[in-house]
Amino acid sequence: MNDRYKRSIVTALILSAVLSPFVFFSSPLKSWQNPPRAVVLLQDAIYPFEWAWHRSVHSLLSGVKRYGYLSNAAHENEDLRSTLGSMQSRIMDYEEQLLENERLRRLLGFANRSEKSMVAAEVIGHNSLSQFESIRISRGESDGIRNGMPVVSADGVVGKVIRTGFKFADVQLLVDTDFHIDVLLQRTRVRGVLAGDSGRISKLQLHKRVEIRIGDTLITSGIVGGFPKGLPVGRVIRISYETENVAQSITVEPWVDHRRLEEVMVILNDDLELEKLIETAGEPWIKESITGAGGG
Amino acid sequence: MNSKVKMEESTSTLRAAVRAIRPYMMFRPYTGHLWLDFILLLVVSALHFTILPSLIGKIVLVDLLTPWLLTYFVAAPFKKSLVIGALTALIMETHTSAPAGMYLSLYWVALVALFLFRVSLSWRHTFPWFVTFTAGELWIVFSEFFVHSVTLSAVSVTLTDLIECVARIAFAVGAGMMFSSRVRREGIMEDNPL
Repeated sequence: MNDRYKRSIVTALILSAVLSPFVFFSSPLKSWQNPPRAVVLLQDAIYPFEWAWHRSVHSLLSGVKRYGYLSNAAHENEDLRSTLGSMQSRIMDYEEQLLENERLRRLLGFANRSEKSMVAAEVIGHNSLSQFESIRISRGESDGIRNGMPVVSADGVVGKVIRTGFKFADVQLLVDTDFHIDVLLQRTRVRGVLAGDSGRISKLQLHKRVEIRIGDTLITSGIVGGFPKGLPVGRVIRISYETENVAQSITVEPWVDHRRLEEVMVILNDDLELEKLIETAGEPWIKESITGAGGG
Repeated sequence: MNSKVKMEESTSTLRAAVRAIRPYMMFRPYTGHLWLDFILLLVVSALHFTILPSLIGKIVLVDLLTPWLLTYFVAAPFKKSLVIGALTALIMETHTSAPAGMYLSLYWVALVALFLFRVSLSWRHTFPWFVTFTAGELWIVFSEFFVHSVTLSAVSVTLTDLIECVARIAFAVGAGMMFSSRVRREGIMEDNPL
């Protein structure tokens, strides 16, 4: 009886081990986007170790850097004084251009990019182990970060928030296979959907007649995903033709090197889809529809 | 004289305290206490995701969790292995953009395989450990590439990827041999794995 019981357990274990990969492949193959609270608590438990390490390394490096800066500061000061004079005249010219730009934007009905509120965050962790890279940032739910919020840096698009803890958030990178973004070719204004490819590059499929050159820059189209229009995304490094020459496959290298990222900005959009609907249909129509649906 | 006696007393109290907490201070995968195993797992996770990548991440891809877990699977009873294995898989999945369930499935297969084989092998020798860590890491690396290729609908393996993989496996085997050294020496395997 005991032997039979053990044998049946072993058989069940072997069966479950054989079946588990099939069960996994029948799932949508999407990363944890809204995990149960208990699962996120696991990450909250690791966070203090990560935070302590990040703080100590950061303060040590900034101390070393500060010493280097001090020795260069005197020399730089002299150079800067000489350039200051010429820059002042340029600034006056730029201010004039800025005012002109603002007037034109208003005329065209463009949304001002700075109207979107942002939160600065430090990169405290980077998982470079597998094909499924992501970065961890030092802001979480307590700072108003929610899933789906766009993440950018000074160089351009970084990715989007896929998970949030109380004091941290995980960012899915632009090069992730599950990441898609609507982009524009800056030179020719042709639109396309850029998809992550192998952890280092992204791919874009365009019709073969679209004119494109190596080195062309891609920017965000501002249509979906909550990214403001015109943010740099990447540059074309390779163009190859698909079978039967129907389409051209464009390899794009992101402007942002996520392995060197230290700080990022999270664009605070509470409900990206709703915001897009409001942008397209207008606030009164949305309010009317919601009231109508609630009343009906 | 009196002060000397007092000093000796306090020294012996200190020694007794050190002796009492020593079993809990060992940095090894399986301590015998589930709560301590869990805390050590969190420490290893922080090492795996943050500390080691920032130190040597540009030289070699660091995987500490897999060898840690494989050592645990060999040393600990099945039920404890199941709990720690599930927690490790969840930590891996919620710290990366890997598809949900991937590491749960991979570690479950590894646990079942080790559970079936571990009674037939002598874990006091180095060779079974070496084979376990190499095979375990190969299983994880191969599966990651496979899942990645499925999500991408294309196979893209470059020479750099292969070199990175070899370095990663070598690192994991080295780390595993270090983790398992105490288990090898003391042989703290449970008689009844279930």
